[in-house]
Amino acid sequence: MTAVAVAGVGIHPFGRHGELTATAMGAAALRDAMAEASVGRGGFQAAFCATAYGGVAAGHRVLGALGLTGVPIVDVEAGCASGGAALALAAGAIRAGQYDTVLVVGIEKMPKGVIRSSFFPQWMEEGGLAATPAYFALRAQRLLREQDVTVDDLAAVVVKNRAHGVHNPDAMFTSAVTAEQVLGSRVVSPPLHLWMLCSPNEGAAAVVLRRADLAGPGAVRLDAAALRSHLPGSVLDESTPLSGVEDQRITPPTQLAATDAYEAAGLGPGDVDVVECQDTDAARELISWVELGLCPPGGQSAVLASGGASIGGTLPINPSGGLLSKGEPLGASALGQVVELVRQLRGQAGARQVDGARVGLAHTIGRGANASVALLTT
Amino acid sequence: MSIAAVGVAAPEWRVPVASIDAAWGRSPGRGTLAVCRSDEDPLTLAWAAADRAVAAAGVAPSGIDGMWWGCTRPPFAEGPSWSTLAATLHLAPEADGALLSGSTHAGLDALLAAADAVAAGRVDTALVVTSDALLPATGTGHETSAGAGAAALLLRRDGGPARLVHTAHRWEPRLDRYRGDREPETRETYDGRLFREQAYLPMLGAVGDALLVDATDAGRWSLPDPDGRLARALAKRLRAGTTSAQDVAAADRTRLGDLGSAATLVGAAAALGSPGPLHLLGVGGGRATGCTVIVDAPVPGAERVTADLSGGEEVAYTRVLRSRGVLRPTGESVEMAVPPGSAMFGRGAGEMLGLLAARCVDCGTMNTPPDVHPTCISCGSTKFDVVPLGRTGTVQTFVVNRTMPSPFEAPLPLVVVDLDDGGRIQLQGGDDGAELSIGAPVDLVLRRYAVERGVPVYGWKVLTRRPVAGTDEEVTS
Repeated sequence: MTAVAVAGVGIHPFGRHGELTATAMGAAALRDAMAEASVGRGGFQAAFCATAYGGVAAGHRVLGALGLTGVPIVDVEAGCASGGAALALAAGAIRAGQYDTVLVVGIEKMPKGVIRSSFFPQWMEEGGLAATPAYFALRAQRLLREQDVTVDDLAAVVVKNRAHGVHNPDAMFTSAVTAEQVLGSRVVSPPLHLWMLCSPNEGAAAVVLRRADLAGPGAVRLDAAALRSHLPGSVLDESTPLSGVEDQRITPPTQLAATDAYEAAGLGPGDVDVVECQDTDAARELISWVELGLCPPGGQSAVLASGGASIGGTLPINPSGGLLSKGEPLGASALGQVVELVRQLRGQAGARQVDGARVGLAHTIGRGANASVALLTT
Repeated sequence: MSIAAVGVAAPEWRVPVASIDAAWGRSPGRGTLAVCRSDEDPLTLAWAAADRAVAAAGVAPSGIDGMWWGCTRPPFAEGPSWSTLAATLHLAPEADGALLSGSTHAGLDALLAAADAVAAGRVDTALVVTSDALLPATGTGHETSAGAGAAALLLRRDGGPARLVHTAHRWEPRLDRYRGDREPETRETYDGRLFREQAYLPMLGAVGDALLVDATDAGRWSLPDPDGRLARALAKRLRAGTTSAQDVAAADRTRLGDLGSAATLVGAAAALGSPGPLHLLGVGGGRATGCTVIVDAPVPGAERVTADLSGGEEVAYTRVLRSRGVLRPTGESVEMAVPPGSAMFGRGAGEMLGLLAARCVDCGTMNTPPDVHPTCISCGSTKFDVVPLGRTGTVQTFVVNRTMPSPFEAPLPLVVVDLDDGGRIQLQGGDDGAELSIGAPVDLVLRRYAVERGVPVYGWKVLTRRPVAGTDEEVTS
């Protein structure tokens, strides 16, 4: 099967950008990625645009702004995993021999405040049952009980990621924080404090994928881009239907996607050098460590205490600062992870460089439920 | 015609009358008032009282073939008030009955209508429910008298421990005690002195005299006491002919406030626990009715009446105003709406109110509510048995939200409950959630989730079960 490489990446900083449109941010990110890949009009055969709030034909607007329409353009929505889904579709098309070069762009401009989602039946919203941070907290409560994780550990995740984010000019928050500050921030939904939650915001990221044999020597390869949804009956994952059987018996979507990705790439968790994983909230990151096979259940506290997940540690996680530093523009966040990992594997990450990184893993989990796992190698 | 069981309910919250007076610079009044949280109303109180009466009687709800509900504030001006209550109680699908309203006389109307239906043989087991909780206009005198509470009786043709033996009526077309919700003007049309002299004392006095003609014992009286003073005057008049008359409702009035159409039965409920004659008087809408009940043996449920009414948590007047929507936060709010597709309007409404589940024939998984699960969430089967779920379970996980967009009020607990009967559901908590913990036993209670465009939306909420002091029982208050 045809191998897939990353020919270029680009990112528009994540944050709040006033009147700037999602289309303009997407065009900026895409222009940078295409410049890196030396791709212009006629140099690609399709484009996928990831967005959850972008509206009808958002991808056409981005490519239209650059005068690049004419190819197939498809919008992809899969909640927080939208970018991972777009990446999986683009990579799959290249592997199948359908296209040589494909543009993938993720854009978002989210409203402020509580994330509202048409995913839920309206009566759940009117009943106050669909409040977003509460879902994270329901999950966090179980984590604290089952895996010896403490509220201090949750604060330590924030401290770690914000320390990484200091060195990321594309992040929304670039100041370091202390555990005392995190625990001193307002309690939103116990055990989660305000600073343990990522900010919904705005931004864009773009990736140009190309057949590896056309990408030139030394290009970062995309060895796997897996996307899975939840198995029936899974209750306390991203989607929470009204009823279900015991969630402990059901493999979560992140683990399904990770298993698929490791298998496709011929790699295992022990091969990974650097990770960008979903830290919508601090507890979600610690759940992801386990589901991705990077840490045994209950082992999170020790890893945090030893600095193993920090830059310079045994397996740095979220060297970009994670969503806790960058914020989460839904459609752009997964591709933002890919941008970070490509720069890490190329040795272009500057002060946040993970030395000798050769295998990178990107992970998202979101409403649906949807989970994506991508493996990049060099 | 006999009384088989009794149940009562009052909100947990108590606001001191003096604290309301203090806010308006008046001299402090006495006693406390039972007031609803924002998710309680006459329907949720009616459910709680009826549920206790049914439990005390030990009958299957499906064997109850009639319900008469008296209430001056039915939640829907025009809508499924009666059937919503029936669904939450799992009454027989062919159940008879009526919703009686229009004045505080509605409580006695319900009792007598149910008694007639049982006596006529139209129904075997009738539920009588009376409940009230009015929303007084801020700053009016009603605010220092309006309480909230409910009482329910289960009636059968014979064999019960108490009997309904006499009734008496009077009427006089008076505009008495008219109170609109949040209505400041109507107090001007009610002249307290005229009501006392021309309606309350003469009509109820005549009804009381009529009951005493046949009574062997002046015994005990449950007297409505709208303003906290009238009943004393009436009792004095009734005592003129006897030496032993005792107003059994007075204590409840002092603690709960004026209960409107529920006042008479709430006041009489505890007295059903001890033998002897008991006279119930009701007034309202230019009518007065009395009836005499002979208690031969303690009525099941009467033993817990005092505990169920003792309540509560003392709350500040400002908290009451907030729950009534008078005090509202400024700033961002999330617009909520009851759309045509809402479960409350759809086929799922009865399933949600009845807490029904579709039990998968193939794998046993409980899918709830059935209507939103055409295939089993676990195995994909389409073969189900629809079964009602019991209202007990344990906490799988929970969170107490410290911030919520308006119209929701923080702290707002959300709880995922593993029901003892097998389903797993997510619900709001019914209090501040301070006692919640993973694995804790909980009970589900009926509450009002929202009022949108004037339409109330009901559902189940979660309360931590806790032991009752001095008993082996555990109850949910």
